[in-house]
Amino acid sequence: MDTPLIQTVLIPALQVLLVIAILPLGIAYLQLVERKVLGFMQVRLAPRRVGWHGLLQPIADAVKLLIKEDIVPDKADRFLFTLAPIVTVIPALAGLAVIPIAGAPFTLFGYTVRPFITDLNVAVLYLLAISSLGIYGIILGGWASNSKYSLLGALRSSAQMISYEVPLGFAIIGVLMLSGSASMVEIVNSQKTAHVWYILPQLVGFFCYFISAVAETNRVPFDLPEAEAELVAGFHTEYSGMKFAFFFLAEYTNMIVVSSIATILFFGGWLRPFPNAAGSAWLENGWLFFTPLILLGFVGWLVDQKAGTGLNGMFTGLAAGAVLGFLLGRFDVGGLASASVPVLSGAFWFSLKVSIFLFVYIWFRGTYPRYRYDQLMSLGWKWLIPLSVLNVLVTGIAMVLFG
Amino acid sequence: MFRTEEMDINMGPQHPSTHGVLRLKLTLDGESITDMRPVIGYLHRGVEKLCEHRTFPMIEPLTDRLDYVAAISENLGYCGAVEKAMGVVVPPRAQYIRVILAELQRIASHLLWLGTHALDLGAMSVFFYTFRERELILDLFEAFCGARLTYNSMRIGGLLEDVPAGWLDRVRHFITIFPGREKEYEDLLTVNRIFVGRTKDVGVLAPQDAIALGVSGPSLRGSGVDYDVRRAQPYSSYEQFEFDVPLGRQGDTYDRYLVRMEEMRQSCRIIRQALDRLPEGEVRAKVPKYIKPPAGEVYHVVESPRGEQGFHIVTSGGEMPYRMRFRSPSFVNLQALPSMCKGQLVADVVAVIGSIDIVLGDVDR
Amino acid sequence: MTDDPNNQPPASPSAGSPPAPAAPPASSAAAPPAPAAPAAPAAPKADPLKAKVESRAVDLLHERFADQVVEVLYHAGDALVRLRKDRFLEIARMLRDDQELRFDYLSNLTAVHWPQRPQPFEMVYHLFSITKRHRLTLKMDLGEGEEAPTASVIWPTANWHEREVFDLFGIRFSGHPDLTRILMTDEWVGHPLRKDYPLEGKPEDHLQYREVTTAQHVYTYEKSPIRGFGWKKEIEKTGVGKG
Repeated sequence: MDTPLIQTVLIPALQVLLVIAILPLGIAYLQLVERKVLGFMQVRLAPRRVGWHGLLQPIADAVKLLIKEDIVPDKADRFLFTLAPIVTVIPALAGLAVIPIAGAPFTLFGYTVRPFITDLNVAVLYLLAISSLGIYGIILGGWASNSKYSLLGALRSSAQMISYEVPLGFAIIGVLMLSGSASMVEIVNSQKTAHVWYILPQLVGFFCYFISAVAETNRVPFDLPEAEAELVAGFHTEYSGMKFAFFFLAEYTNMIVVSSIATILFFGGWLRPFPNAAGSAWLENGWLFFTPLILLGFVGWLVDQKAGTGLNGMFTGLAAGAVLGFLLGRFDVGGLASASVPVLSGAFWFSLKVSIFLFVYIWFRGTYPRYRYDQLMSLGWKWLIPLSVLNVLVTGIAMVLFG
Repeated sequence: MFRTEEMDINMGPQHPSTHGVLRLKLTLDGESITDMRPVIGYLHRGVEKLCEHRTFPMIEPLTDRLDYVAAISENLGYCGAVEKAMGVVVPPRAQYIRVILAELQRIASHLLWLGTHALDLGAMSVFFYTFRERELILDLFEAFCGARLTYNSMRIGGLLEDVPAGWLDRVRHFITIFPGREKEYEDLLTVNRIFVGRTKDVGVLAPQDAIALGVSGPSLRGSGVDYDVRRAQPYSSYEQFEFDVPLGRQGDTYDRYLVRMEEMRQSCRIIRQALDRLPEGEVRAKVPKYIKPPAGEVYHVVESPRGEQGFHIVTSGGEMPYRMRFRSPSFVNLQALPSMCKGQLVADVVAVIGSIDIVLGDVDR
Repeated sequence: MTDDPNNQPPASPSAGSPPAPAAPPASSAAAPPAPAAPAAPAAPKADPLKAKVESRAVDLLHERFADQVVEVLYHAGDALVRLRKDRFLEIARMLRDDQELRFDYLSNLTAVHWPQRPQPFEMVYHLFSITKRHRLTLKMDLGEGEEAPTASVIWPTANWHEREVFDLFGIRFSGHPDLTRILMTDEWVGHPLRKDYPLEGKPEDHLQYREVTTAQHVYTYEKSPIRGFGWKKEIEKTGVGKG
């Protein structure tokens, strides 16, 4: 066999297939997590009938969406109507191609598998361009539905997304200036060499970025285009079944992509916290530390449910797991720490950070009301853009002065 | 070459946030509203005609279903009107208990208003929190009269029975925990920039317009007009209670929100006074077995959570009224909606409808 | 339905007798216990429900528009003034703008149908003054097909009230900006709150013939969309009946 061919074509193709296969399932469970977290914030029990504590709910939802009748409105443009969700989903998925989840490749059956699908040296630019393409799908969806509500929603949504692309880009420029490269892997490595995550010098940039990202993905408090209360469901009012599922898939994939970019650009990607603190080498195997923590905490929570002891069991479990994990890592019990595959630890830290961002997304949804459309636009144009431009200026000046 | 057209859009009658079957015909110029025409009647059940064929006690369950969110105030007003027509004096204990029920109902209705208003604006969590408190109140009502929404709780001449054992303590417990819960909602909404931005200067109603359009209740008081039926035309011993009537300043949605939040606190205050000073005695005056008010007509108004609820009964000396007219506050307040929404954006319509707090059962009867 | 004894209109338009000047003006807000006899209105002299109420508005109306005032009634602590239609708007404007009265709030506007009377429709206006805190009720009699002046030029809130009166009674208002049906559907034929409109169904679905009257019974043929059709027998000629 031609090894370079396998290396350069087959393995990335397999990675792509893996992503496309696993991602919808992951998105479905992300939806479950969202409903659960929202439920707990809203003093209610979120789905818990389908499967144990609702764990089969996403499967049920997926099956429902698949077997649902595919309704196309009478006067809708059939071709565009079917094309719109596809045009929305593909750029979202394509954005995942340049996201690296760990720092080092690992070998599998003698082949090197790198922790990303590809490493473009213009990855940031690629991502910005790809996310802009996703807007076409929304416009198409609203237009093709041939309904006033959908059209209004699509227009609003596209105007909002286009407006917030600008501060998004500007916020990223600060990081590009600091790292000197537009490649995702390079940016993380430069954070490693600089011994500081870019969140610290680029705090303003991060906030501009995150707020613009929430607006880009049409999430609360910027979700007016799909607000139930006003336009029923905005541009995807008329969609049902699998097409609707595609729109949702696109939205959640965008959330994941944006969160991943945030972690890579500002929070060190797969790097562990405190890389230089003495005695913190055990954190390198973060998974080794957190796995007992989460497992024992979960066991404690189960005991709580059965025994009705509030949350005491969970906290005890967490504490026990923390101690156990620390001991396992610090003293390299059973050789686990040194034998652990670096990619696993990198992937663990990366996933943890992305999960925190996703939680913040859900937290926003449970807390804030919605911005009105004109307030939304004025926030983007009058506040975020000047702020992000200012950030670039200040970064540039600081770099010249302090090197 | 390019021209803009105004777009006609139809909101409702089936819509997640028009609070019932309300249809609004909007003419939009882009996002701003140039004309609005409410179309009602989707829930018209002909209650006034039905009342002409029912005896006076049989009408009371019908009044529950007018403003189904605040049914106690309907019961109270109706019984008060018939008692006025007959010249019956309700015993003081019954009057105080009626006040307690009415104020509990006011809190419950405002909680529902708050939850749905916040939900329309996007703050979903507040909806669940307010309903958590509303459940407590509905449990109290269920203990008192057996029903959670349509109570039929009062009788002409007083109440059917005295309160169940322990009920008064439960009410006291509720008003002890309620201010803390209300603080939760305030923390989430009152100082939230997004909420303030959505409600300040939205749906402004000038006081002269409000009076001319017949608006009543918190919508009127939000514009600064001091008219509360409990103060101006006291009924059911309200003159014996000390409470403040909150007034707004600008007449925008935010002021109406603040007025209702403060009203909930004042209701707690009234309930506390009523519990402290509850007189002993019987709970129903002596009324004849067949209620036959003498011929004539009366008009009795009460302050429902929505505004001035009026009951105009024309009696002919028989067992059934000759004409029964319900002056519903939501019907009249809805009339003010177009003038509040002119020039506003579509997204504001939802906020304004939420702030005038209409119930379609009340509008259409 | 129109023969329902309980729904008969009182014998004369002003069933409550006019305030007897000789009656001692008891304190107007006195509310005595219910009369022991359940049926007929109490005797005029001692009935506190009909006690005279001090009302500045009534006095001013007597002063300035004495010819327009048909009668003044008192019932349950309220003053009800029946006016003629001719200068109604002028009177309304006076009531709203006069400094002593300031009736700026039209609380309720409705109509009552008295088919037995020569002028079957009676408009009722309930006024309230927010600043002065006093009330007044105005009444106005209208004939069949007669148009009433619209009160929406004085109190804009009358707009929807008058639409409702038009919808349910058929009374038209001259000068009303938008007199269309409001509660019933636009294509509805008939005015449901009239006394000759059936409780169930539409008028064209009901046929009533009084055919046979014996000493004891009245046999009526009725076709009702809800209760079926056929001959029905009233149990007692003068009883409550099947209403």
